[in-house]
Amino acid sequence: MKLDGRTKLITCIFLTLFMFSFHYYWQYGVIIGLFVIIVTTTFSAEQRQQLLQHWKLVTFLPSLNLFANLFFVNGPVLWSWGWLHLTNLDLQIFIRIALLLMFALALTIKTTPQELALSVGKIFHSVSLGRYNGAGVPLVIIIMVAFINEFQATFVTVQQAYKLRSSSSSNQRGWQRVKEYAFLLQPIILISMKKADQVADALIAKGYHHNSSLFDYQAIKYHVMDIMVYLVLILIFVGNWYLVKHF
Amino acid sequence: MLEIKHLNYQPPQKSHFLWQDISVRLQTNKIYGLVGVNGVGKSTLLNLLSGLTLPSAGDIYWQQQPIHQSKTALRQYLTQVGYCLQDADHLFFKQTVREELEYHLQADLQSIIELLQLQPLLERSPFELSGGQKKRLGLAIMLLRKPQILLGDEITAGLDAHFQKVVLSLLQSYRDQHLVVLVTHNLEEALQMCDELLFLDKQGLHNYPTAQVVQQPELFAQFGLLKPTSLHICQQLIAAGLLPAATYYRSNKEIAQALAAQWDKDAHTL
Repeated sequence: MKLDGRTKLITCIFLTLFMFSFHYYWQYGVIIGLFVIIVTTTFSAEQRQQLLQHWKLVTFLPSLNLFANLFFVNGPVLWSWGWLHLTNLDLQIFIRIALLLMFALALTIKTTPQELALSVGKIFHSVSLGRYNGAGVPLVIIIMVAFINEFQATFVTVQQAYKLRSSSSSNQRGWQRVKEYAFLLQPIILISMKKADQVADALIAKGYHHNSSLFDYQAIKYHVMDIMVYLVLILIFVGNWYLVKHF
Repeated sequence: MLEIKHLNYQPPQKSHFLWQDISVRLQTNKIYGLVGVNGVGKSTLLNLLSGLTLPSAGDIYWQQQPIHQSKTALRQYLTQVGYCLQDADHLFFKQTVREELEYHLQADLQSIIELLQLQPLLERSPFELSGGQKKRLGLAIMLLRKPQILLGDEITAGLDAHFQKVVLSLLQSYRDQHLVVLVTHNLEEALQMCDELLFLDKQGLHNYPTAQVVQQPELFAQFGLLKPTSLHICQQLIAAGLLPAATYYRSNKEIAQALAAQWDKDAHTL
């Protein structure tokens, strides 16, 4: 039985926020262990491959952040060399950002944009006690996800096309190439925005607009598996509190 | 010579290869038309030929050297390749059309601009252009690189009749001492200008000289394609006795010329 999109979204948000309250490395170990169990048991081989092939993306941003933090002292220093200081907090931030990206990536692999959009709409519907029945929020999510997906795909193609065009410009200096590489972001963003705009137009053409009530939120219900997942999350929270308090 | 040996590709998130096996030799001084049904992997094959996508099996050999042997070999190969992408947007990264063209400083820049009538577009952003204008700009950029291998994915799609003729004429003159591979759904165009047709299906790549294809139009049905109208018309005219049997024509223009010659020969009767 498939989990409700809300359960997946809330689990991702819960684990992310929960992780930011950690102080000890064993807590990260537990969360990583849990994540590995989830990936091993609920992801197919292709999905696992998809998750692993983005390792560069997942480690790039935290590495950049870690490198920047080396120039500052954010608490007790673990190691230092000249101007560079590595602290306990720097390491923890690195782990948190990497895990946050992993969780978000896992969510996008297991949840379609439409499912995610409906989940957010249903959450709004529930929180507003049934008063919110619009399509605006889900539509925004669908368009945002279309932008992100297009950004990822276009990033690769534009890089490849640049590699082709610049391959014969060997007389260019390295810094010129780096500058041009940075400016590649402009066409990537432009193309992705155009795609998101096309998705918006397509949705309007199909009759979806922010006032339409084409989404049936009443029909979206939790199942037994969802309740069990929430119980496990509560257990994790309580277990963590108990272990930290007593050990 | 470009040689493909046991090439195959497994797309991400798929558990199977796209084709059984692709092995073929492509010679310079020729235009090859890559045809096949939708979704068979024509653009993927072109991406592999361009060196930008790594194959899952086999390799591509340029002048008998495998292009993926090392980063240096690949870099060397990329300097020889020009690739007009199906989505021309992905090629551009400068502010204006002029800057895009001047990125590849070449003496014949002005002649390319005149030939493809890019003069009125020079100060505009490449992202503001229409689909056809982007295609022309993409082709101009690639021709300025003077690649040994020119690849085009639906290079005339979106162009009006005038520019289709201009581009086809450009490609035919570019064929001299170069290798051109074009993906096209326009089988009439493929027959008219390609020296060989490469039929792609799940089994692999099958190449036939165009002269042979014209004589064996049943080849199109074999690969799930519709027979081009010109071949159909030719067969009908031969069956009606209006054209001599066992005559073969690659375009409606050739058929019309043959009919006109027949008309003159038979003293204005058919």
